[in-house]
Amino acid sequence: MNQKAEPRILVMIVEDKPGVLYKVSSIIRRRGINIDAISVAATTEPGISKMTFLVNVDEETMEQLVRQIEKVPTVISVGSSPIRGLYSKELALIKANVSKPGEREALRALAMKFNARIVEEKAFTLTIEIVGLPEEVSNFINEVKVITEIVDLSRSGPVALSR
Amino acid sequence: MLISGAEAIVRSLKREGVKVIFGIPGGAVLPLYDALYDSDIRHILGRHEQCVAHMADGYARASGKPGVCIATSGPGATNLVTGLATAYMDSSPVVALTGQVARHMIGKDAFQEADIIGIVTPITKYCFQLTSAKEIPKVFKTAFTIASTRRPGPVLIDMPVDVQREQAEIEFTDELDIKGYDQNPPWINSDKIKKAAEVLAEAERPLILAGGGVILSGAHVELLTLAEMLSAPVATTLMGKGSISEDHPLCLGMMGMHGKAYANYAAIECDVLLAIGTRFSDRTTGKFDEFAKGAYKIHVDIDSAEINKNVRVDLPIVGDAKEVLRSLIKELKKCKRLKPRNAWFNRVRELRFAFEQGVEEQQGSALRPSSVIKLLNKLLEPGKSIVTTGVGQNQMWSALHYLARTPRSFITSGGLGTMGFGFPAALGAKVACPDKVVVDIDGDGSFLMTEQDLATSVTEGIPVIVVILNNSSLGMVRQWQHLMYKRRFIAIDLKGVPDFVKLAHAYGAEGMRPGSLEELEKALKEAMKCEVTTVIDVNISPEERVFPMVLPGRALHEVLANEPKS
Ligand SMILES: Cc1cc2nc3c(=O)[nH]c(=O)nc-3n(C[C@H](O)[C@H](O)[C@H](O)COP(=O)(O)OP(=O)(O)OC[C@H]3O[C@@H](n4cnc5c(N)ncnc54)[C@H](O)[C@@H]3O)c2cc1C
Ligand SMILES: Cc1ncc(C[n+]2csc(CCOP(=O)(O)OP(=O)(O)O)c2C)c(N)n1
Repeated sequence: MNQKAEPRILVMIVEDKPGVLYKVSSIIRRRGINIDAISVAATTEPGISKMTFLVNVDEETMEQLVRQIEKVPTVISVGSSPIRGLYSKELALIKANVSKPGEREALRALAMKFNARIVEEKAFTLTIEIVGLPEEVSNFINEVKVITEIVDLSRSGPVALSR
Repeated sequence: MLISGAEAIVRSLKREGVKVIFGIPGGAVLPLYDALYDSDIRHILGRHEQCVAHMADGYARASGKPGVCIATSGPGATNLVTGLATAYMDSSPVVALTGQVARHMIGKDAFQEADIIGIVTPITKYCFQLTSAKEIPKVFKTAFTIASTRRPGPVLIDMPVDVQREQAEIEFTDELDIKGYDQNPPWINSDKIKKAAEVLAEAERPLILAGGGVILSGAHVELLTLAEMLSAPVATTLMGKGSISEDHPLCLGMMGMHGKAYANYAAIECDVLLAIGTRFSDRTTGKFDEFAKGAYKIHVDIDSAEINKNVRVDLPIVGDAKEVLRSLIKELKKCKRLKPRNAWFNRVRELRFAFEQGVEEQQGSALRPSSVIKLLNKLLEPGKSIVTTGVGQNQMWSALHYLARTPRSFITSGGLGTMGFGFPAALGAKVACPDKVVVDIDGDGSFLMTEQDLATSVTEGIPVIVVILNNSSLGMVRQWQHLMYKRRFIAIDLKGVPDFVKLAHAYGAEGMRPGSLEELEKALKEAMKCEVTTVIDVNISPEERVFPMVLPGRALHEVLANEPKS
């Protein structure tokens, strides 16, 4: 059993009912585990949603979490995997300050390098959209910070599919 | 035809076969009470919502059927919390109905509004809040199904008062409103049964550990058959008491922190451990890593989340205990001849003998905890009696000395250890089994937490017997301070207050204070014939301590069989 904590994805197919997120997150919270990212979205079936959590835990803890979450009556199925074994992507929208000379150009070049898109240009700000592996997104954000100050940032949290 | 939500609730309860409800009314459940007025469901008025929940729990544990309780919104609902947590920890099917403020008032800090679902989500199997009268039949069907199937547990339905009043065309169906829940027991992997049978047939020193799941599953007959086939001794958890008759030669009694020392030693010496319907609580196993260290461990449990939670096992079998045991028995019958295992049987007998030698036999007629409980063994007929307990020393003496001879005859708060559980649980058990003698063996501290429901017992005509092992202290805490905190006693002296005989009389119950075993026997015989509840105040020394004991965090073999000489 792998005792090392690492980023793992917990994917749950759930009934769209009030309280399901609360019940599941309370099972995780009880053990003092922080949820690093959450995304909830519709599936192809009406009334059924998919919830994706990112947590940093070891394998044994994850196995326990999965079994306890499986028991929740509104949870239809649960799966988990270390994030490195998955096809996973994250979206981020970054609004950066470009009031000083050269910043706009530097950001444009950086965006190009990361395959990110400029989605809005204002007099003093630039908004960039990036889609990529969660660590790529993090790297990009760090590099933006080297160039200028980030005014606002929205990350979707990872979404994932098995390979 | 238009009917009200409240009428639909009562109809739904009747469809679930509910005959009795324990409750306390209030503004937010008045429509429901008004509908109960016209129904033949018996309503038992409690004096505190915690007790109402414990009564429903006691009813459920004694009968195996869901117990139902009602509380109003706000403080009524929050008073249920301890009762629900108690039922949750011990897997008891309680259905709690709470009033709630009207839908349009929710979230506005309305008078007596409490977010009860927010509060009890972690201590219930599931919760519902009604959003319309139309959904009532489905919600109730689903709630009772969830509470009573698979691993049972408490379910709460929060009922906004305007939904209870709402008039609607309501269709009654048996349809469930839940997709992620399978009420049927899990499918059993037959390869695992084969493997288990092989291992058990080959075992030199097999030991069975039977837990509360055996009782919940109704698998006591199968357990006995299997134990006899294998000539395997059976130890139980606290919750497993009664899963095998405790006067059977193969039954070792309870294992664990306060278990029989020889049951603990058997766990150390066995080569195969078959654990059935137990969650390997720390009180049963001692230090997890040391538990039955050398043994091949087979774990049968209906809840896959229990597998490898506390103790790593070699062969997990997820399934209903009764079904698994039946398959195992069938598989074992194919073996030509099962080993007699005389050597192991003799070894266990030797361990037992050595232990019993060490225990001083009581002389004379002094009132000591063990002698009081052994007297109850003599007077209470198997199959016709139920014992409940408080929490603490009284509970552990009951676990050690009371012989549970049938399932569902020993009812105790094991997982949460809720002081005050014993008496209301006894009332609930008596309502479920009016023909049985129900005795609550309690502590003075525990009984004081819920004694106000003596009023319920007297006014509703629910006669039980309360035997208080009165050491005028919070005995178990005192014992820990004695053994682990150098006898620096603090906050444990109850100072002999109140006078329990007078207290009983004040409620219109009987009260007695016998001075010897002979007087106690007389008092008990009288109490069994008495038509009101009898409180028997048995004064014992605060210096009585519970042994054996495994100190917290230690392994089972470190059991102190007797008082350490110091
Ligand atoms: C002061 C004090 C001292 C205590 N000392 C001890 C002690 O010395 N020894 C001891 O054992 N306990 C002791 N306890 C009790 C302890 O805290 C636990 O409550 C108890 O050990 C749990 O029993 P259990 O493992 O049988 O599980 P339970 O809590 O009864 O749980 C039942 C198990 O069976 C499973 N199950 C349910 N239905 C089925 C089914 N149909 N088929 C198969 N499986 C099913 C469940 O999933 C669960 O795993 C003590 C408690 C107190 C308050
Ligand atoms: C509600 C609650 N509060 C506190 C405790 C902690 N506790 C465990 S045993 C005990 C003492 C019990 O005293 P009593 O009921 O008189 O029983 P005794 O041990 O003396 O038999 C206490 C305070 C508890 N288990 N439950």
